[in-house]
Amino acid sequence: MSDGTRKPATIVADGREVRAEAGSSLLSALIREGIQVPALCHHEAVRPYGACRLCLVEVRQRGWKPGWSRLTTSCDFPVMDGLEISTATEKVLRHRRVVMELILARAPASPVIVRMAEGMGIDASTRFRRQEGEACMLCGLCARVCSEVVGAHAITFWGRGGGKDVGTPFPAESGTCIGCGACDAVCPTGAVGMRDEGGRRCFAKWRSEHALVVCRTCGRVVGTRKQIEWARERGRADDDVLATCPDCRRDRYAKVIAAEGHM
Amino acid sequence: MSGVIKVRAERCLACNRCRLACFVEHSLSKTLIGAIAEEPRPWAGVQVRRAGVLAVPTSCRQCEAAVCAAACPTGAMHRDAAGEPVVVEKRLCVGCAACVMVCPYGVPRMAAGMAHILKCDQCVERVRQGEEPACVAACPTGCLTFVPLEARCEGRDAPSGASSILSLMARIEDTRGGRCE
Repeated sequence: MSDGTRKPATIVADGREVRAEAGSSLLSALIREGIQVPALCHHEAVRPYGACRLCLVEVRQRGWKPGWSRLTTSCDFPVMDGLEISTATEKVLRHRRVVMELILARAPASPVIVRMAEGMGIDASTRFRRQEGEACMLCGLCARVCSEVVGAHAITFWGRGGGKDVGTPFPAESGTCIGCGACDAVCPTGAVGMRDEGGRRCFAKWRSEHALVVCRTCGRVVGTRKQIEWARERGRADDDVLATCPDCRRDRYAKVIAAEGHM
Repeated sequence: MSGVIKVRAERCLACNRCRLACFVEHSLSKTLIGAIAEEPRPWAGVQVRRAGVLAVPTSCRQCEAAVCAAACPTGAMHRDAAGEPVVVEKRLCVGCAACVMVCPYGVPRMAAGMAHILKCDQCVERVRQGEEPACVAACPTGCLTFVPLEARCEGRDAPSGASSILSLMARIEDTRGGRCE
């Protein structure tokens, strides 16, 4: 994010003075300072997106008339010199509660969301229509990581309005998916459902499968073929390494130390 | 102070105290009972492996030209300065497992129930406070020792051609009467 031209800025968050780079994510600055702001769709490795709306804060700027404030998501709000942030005012908590109710109605099958809602005093009897059995809250973090970090561009939003969903386009099996599982690792609600079974890596949410490469020594899983090819290009690893599982590599490493006597 | 963990294979009893100490050190509670009860379960970077008749504690070598860091697409796997251990910035890790694929020593792992990669950080916080890494402090036989880089380099030329800490170490004589190269 840093382009060398960013200046340091000082903001006041819940009465505490916080220093951060001007133009960087406000939420990141708050988290770094240990200020608790709930968020589901935020990840430092990708650009902020403001999908879950839980990181709402109240913002005042130096020079504004007394009583004027703005309610905004902090993940995609830039740090500016002289900002005054309140993360838990009555107004913030009231709006955040409604947001949480909506998320719970959208994805009631996610244990993470149910637990988070319970923590905010929201029970299952929401006034909004519940989408039973749904665990995805459509934050799109999986799609952002797939495009911005992995570079596979395998998943995206598709459909409109009530029919909007996240997944492979059309929806059909993706040719560009490498099966690395980053989507599953970053998913805040556990909706992707990746499993390795019977020599296949299955993604329940994407309805796709990948053949797994197994270790030539012990038969345990190394990864999918495309994932191994991707890692080979990135890390300049040789075939010998990529054909064995991490456990066998470690055993081989131990044997080298034993043979050498020391390391 | 930065340094390297030196392993003397013939001194390992496979007592796994290094593993337990690592497990406790990387827990939230920093006590064994507390660590066992924690969810998700803490994870130990050091593992004692069987190698023929010997048992050998293995952890990260902290390669100077670290392939895991080179493969990482987000810069989560990084080292703060030369000589410092390679550590994972959890906020940046997306769990793509590129480091797991390329590490020749099987060190970085994706643990169940965690959204990021775990690996030995050579107890970077303890070392900054002047202590030894937890595994070294727990080792009862002197199999594991923590050797400051400066002490290992004394009286030697700068390791200009060294591609890793291992090759650096191989060029430096063993101060405790081990093998000399």
